[in-house]
Amino acid sequence: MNRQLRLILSLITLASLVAAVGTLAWRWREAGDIAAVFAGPKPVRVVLLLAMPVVMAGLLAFSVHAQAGRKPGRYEAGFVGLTLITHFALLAAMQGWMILVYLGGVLPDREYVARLLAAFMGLGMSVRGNFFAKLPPPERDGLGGWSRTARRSGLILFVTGLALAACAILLPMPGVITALGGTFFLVLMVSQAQRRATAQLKS
Amino acid sequence: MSEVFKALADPTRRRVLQLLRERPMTAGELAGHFSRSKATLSAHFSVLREAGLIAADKRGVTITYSLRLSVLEDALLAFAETFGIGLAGAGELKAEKSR
Repeated sequence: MNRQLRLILSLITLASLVAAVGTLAWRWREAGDIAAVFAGPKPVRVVLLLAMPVVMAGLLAFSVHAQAGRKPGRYEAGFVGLTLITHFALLAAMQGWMILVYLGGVLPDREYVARLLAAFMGLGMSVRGNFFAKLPPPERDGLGGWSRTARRSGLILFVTGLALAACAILLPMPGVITALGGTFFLVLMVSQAQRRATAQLKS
Repeated sequence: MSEVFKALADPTRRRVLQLLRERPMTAGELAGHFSRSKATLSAHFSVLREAGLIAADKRGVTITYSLRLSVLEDALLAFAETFGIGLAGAGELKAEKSR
């Protein structure tokens, strides 16, 4: 993990921690009583709010201390970095939603948020699908089977991601949900194909 | 990105990529498909490697090249093939392909 990526992820984690603590402090200040922080029908929300920065910090520590078996290529590093930033941004977005629910603020239109998230996921998947075949095989790929599967998987992810983003913008809500289900199924299929190719390579 | 365009603009380099699509090949195997000198081919491999389109795995004295094309680069390759970009040496390449 390079310094720039570590800085971006650390800033997102810090912002998440500040948002969680700030939200609880705000509620305490408004009510003037610490018990009010945990009051309400769902006290578990407080735990969930604080859990987000903890999860991010855990992921960050895990990624920083992860040992690569060999020096990662420039595309491999970019691929992992992009994936981490996407996941951290999604966690931050979820926390933002939870904060609005907790403080009883004005929630944005659910359908709009769902469409935005689906489009974001689709575009992210498309970018990662594009670079998928750039990743080096885990072992020496003498026959090129792993690379061929990776190229096919990358193409499927790329096209599916674009289709999901288009569906999120153009289709009515039931269509978007169907598209999300279909995407999930395709990602499972691609993962399975890649897993089999890796097993064949190692055998 | 300009490195990728430069790499894909040459028909010989595109032919190398098409050959590597089948399976990874050693420099010698690839050279067997062309009538050019090894030094010229080595320069082509170097351009492709610098553009990140192929990866080289050196074991002893043997270098094995494998394909590392992203989806967009693959599409660019197909585009360049279809429209015959940089076909100055196309006649020579045709003769090599038929060998």
